[in-house]
Amino acid sequence: MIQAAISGFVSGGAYATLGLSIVLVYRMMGVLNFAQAAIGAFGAYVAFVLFEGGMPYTLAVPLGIAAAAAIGALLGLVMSTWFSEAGAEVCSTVSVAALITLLAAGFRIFGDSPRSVPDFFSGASFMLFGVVITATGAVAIGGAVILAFAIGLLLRRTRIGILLRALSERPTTAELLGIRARRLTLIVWAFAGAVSALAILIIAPTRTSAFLGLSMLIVPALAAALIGLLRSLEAAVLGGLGMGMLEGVATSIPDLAPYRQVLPFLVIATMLLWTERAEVWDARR
Amino acid sequence: MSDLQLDEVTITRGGLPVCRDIRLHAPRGEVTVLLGPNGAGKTTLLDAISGVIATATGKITLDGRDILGLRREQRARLGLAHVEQGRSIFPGLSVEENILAGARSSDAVHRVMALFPQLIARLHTQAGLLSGGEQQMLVIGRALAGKPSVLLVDEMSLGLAPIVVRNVMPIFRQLAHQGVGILLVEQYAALALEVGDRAYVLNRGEIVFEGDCAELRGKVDVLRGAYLAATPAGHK
Repeated sequence: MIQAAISGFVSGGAYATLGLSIVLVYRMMGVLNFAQAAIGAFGAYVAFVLFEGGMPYTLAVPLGIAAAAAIGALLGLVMSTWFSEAGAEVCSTVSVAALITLLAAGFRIFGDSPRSVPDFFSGASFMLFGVVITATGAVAIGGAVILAFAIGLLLRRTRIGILLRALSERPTTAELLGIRARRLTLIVWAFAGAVSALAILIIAPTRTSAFLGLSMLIVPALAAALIGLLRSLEAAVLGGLGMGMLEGVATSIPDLAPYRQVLPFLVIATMLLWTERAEVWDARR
Repeated sequence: MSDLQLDEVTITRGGLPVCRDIRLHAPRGEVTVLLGPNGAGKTTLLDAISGVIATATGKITLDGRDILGLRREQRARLGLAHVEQGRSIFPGLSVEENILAGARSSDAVHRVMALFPQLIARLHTQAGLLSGGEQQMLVIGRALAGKPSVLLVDEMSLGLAPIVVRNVMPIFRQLAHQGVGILLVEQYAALALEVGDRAYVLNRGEIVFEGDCAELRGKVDVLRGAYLAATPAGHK
């Protein structure tokens, strides 16, 4: 059972990293970005295509990450230009439109066939307390934890963090103080896009890497973000890791394995019910 | 000359003109008071000057430069600060972080604390936990942290105890002495006219009076007709 749970480290790390991107964009920009995984998948696919074209993977990966950052920044530009005064519902709807656009564009450009994806660590693993841990899994989890810590530190301790938090609380007031809202917005969107691409690149070697399938990793990522109530970076990381480990355990149980894709939906439904519990119980009374 | 100048400014909201042909001059080193009844267009006018509302025509110049086509943060960076109505603190940030968010220099926190020593003990407190008066001091201090040349202040007294208003109002006189131009929208006409140099009265979107504050204090009919505000308790 423990080994099965540990086998979910790679997925968990990727869900956690994607969940971090979603929480970051939601907290700073007020947008629940349903296109976050698709942006990452697009960047990852750029890397795969370049690699297939003969480019060294170590060069293709940064270019793919840069492509995802550019797409993220483009979506941020659209949001800040036309939807800066709109509510979270409208902005999130725009992100659904962006998801559909990216899926269509990805299908058109990359096709729907899975790609062969190189694994940076090519199956390397080590033993810890009698349990086998893959190098990719350790990097995925370590990366997600370090990233959450670094983002938290940046938001709390740096000037750019103060400006971002100010912008997220009262955008108009922040602009009236001379805070360069559009520049910060683009930085956040680009950063989230780059991080998403990194997450997809980590998880891609472990599963059938079709563009649609990778884009749909938004579902477990949203579940992770919801565990953090779309606010807590740390809880989103724990949620992502938990999702991955749960998935690992489910995979090892033959009766449960076919239904493991349903788990994120159950988590999302449970979290939504939990957040609304007071109102439901009050209504009952 | 460094100042704020409005020429034939017309502002529309929802396609309808809210303010028409406004001419207004708020020089540096002076407190300019803008009075008027509720719905006269005072807040709309300040919003148009700072760029919160983009639908204005005419000419708005700051230190001789036309700012009408500029974005909010560009106007702010040119030296225009706007203290919005309703104590617009960043509630999740500490007092110090609120000031740093508006700061243009490393001594900003020190300067604000010198102006509002009451905030020193609250420096690391979350701004949302401050009293109304402290929050108002913070938003004024935060605006000053950007070293503005012109400060727009919208209904500072709204929801504040009169004694707090009386304590804060002289700060504007002090700032004017330091060379800042103040455009003050205030419901307590008597107090505002006491600290102000020149006054405008806005009614139904048009300037109906322009002159010295001392002159307006003597025109009871103008004040009564266009602006009926309560005087804070204890004010003589």
